[in-house]
Formats: sequence, structure tokens, C-alpha cells
Amino acid sequence: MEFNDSEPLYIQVADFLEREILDGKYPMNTKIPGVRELAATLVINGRTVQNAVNRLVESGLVETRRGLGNFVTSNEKTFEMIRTKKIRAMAETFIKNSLTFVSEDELRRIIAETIASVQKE
Amino acid sequence: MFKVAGLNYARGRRSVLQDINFESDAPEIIGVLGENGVGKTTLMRLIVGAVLPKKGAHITLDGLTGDALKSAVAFIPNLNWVRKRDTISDVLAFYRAGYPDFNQERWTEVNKTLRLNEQDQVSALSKGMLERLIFALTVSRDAKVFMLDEPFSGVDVLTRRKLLQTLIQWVPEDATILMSTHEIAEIEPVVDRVLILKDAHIIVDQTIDDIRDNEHMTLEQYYVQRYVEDNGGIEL
Repeated sequence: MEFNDSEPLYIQVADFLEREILDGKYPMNTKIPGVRELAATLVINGRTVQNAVNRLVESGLVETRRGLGNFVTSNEKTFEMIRTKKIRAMAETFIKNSLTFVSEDELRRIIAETIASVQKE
Repeated sequence: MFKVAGLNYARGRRSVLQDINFESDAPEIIGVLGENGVGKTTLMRLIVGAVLPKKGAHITLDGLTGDALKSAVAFIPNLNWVRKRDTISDVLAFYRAGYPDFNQERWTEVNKTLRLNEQDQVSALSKGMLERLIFALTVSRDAKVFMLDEPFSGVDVLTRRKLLQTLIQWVPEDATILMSTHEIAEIEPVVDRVLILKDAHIIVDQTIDDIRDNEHMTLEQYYVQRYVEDNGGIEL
């Protein structure tokens, strides 16, 4: 995975894992790999990966089941809440950045056109 | 705890390392950074007792000192002692006999990734394969301190990745790892902390988290900044 310059690494790893889960790589109620295995795969320090996983546990997306490991939550409400929160956060950043140099009408039009062209692909 | 205190070393009149102090609570991976000739290798040689520091140095590991400490440190500065016709398998036999903490199981696991051919002659290995061998031999001991001196020199990007993966996956969890390298960007996500050496001193001893949290910089940006700052703001 690629890192950006400013943020702490464990937050970037947590975002990366969250995206993998939301993308469906690890479906609801399935086990995610152990910290050491994840660390080796991603070539990242184990402590950083542990901190990232802890962050996902705090958010509710991941549950630690004692003696079994870490699982993606089986709670649909929690999963859905995190998913929409993620999309809203991404949209908010994009819109805020865009509105500094385009008008709202223009932005709406561009989004609609872009969605149409992406769907054609 | 692994602790180095009051370490000084001079070559003739020139001070090579001056007042080196640091400690580490395992598990920890420490990157040792600094320009060529700054004393990174010398630091490792001092720790393992290959060269002797000035009086007053204290190196301890969980209360151990001297030979007891040295036998808990895994470090291979080079393979110059290997005879011309020796194969990897000969070196392995020699190493196994010399170090009772050699872990055959780990050697086998590590070698699944690094793919050294035990029938190959060591003198015929390419630089990259030689680095793999040194790396594999080093990490295959049940040591408490592992020192890797520029394990990536002459090693391609995929192999560097393999070596780092091996390090993360196979090195015992109760150990301290010291790794000197110039591949700053590449090791940033792997190490817990860095020591930056300049002009015989440790000028930085900080965790990656602290550098990112407090300085809002990548390790490489911070390294360059500190080197320039230490030169009185003059670019190298």
C-alpha cells in the first residue's frame, strides 16, 4: 500500500483495511487475517497494524472474538452505518475542495455527466 | 531491556562514535540511519565485541553483559571467513555447530521465501544472493538482538520486499532488531523507531509515530531536514 505524507501510518492502514472490508474482500462475519500475517503481507510494522485493527475494533467494524481472532462485524446496522459514514466523508471532502473553484450548479452537472459516462464503461 | 550507555570509540585521533546512548524494550525494530562512513557498522561491531570501545561503556541485555550478552546477539558482518569451495550447506553446518540457538525450522521457513540453493558455492553467489544468505543465517537464530548491516545493498526491489516480509513474519517477537540502511522511504513503515547518526553522535532518536505526529513529515523529509539543520542550514 502507498502512504501519504502527513497522516500517522496506523490511521492510513486502518483506512486501507476499512476500504478492503467495505469492498467485500472480507465479508461480514468472516475472519480477517491475524496481525502478523497482515503485517507481513502489507510489509508494515506489526505494532502499526495492531493499532490500525484496534481503531477498527473501536469503530465497531471489527470484533475481537476471544481465542478466535478478529472478525468483520455481523451487525448489519453497524456495517451499514460505517459504510454510509465513509461515503459521506469522501463526498464531503470532494465537494468542499471542488466548491473552491466551481459553482454548485456546475458541480451538479459535472457529477451527473461523470456518473453517466462511468456507467457506460 | 537492551541498553547501550556511554559508548565512545576513536580511530587514532579521530572520534568515530561519541557518547552513544540508547535503550530498547523488545519487541522493537530500530532503523540506524546516517551518511556513509558515519559509524553505523562500527556501532554494530562494538555491540558484538568485534572492536573494543573506550573505557566506561556499558552494554547490557536483560542484565547480561560480556560473553553472555554477545551470545544473545545475532550479527554477521561478512562471510569473508568462508573457504572458496564451501557450499551454503557447509556454511550452514558450521553455523549450526557454532550457535546452539540456531533454529532449523525458521531457516526452512525463511528459505521457502528466499530460495537459497544449499548446494551452491558461496564464493560464486551474486551480491544479492550473498545478502540473502547473510540475512537468512542471521534471523535463523533464537537471539534477543538481531543486527542487520545494510541488508539491502545490491538487492533488487522485490527481494528487498521479501527480506522485509521475512523480518516481520519470522523474527522472534521478544527481540530487538537493529537495521542500518539507506533505503529510508522503504523501511519507514517497517521500523518502530530510528537512530540518526551524524558526526559521531546520535542526532535523532525518535519513533516514526512521533515524527509523523509532531513534525508532520515523512521519515525521509525529516532525515534531510535534520541533516541540513545540523549543518547550520547549509544544503549538503
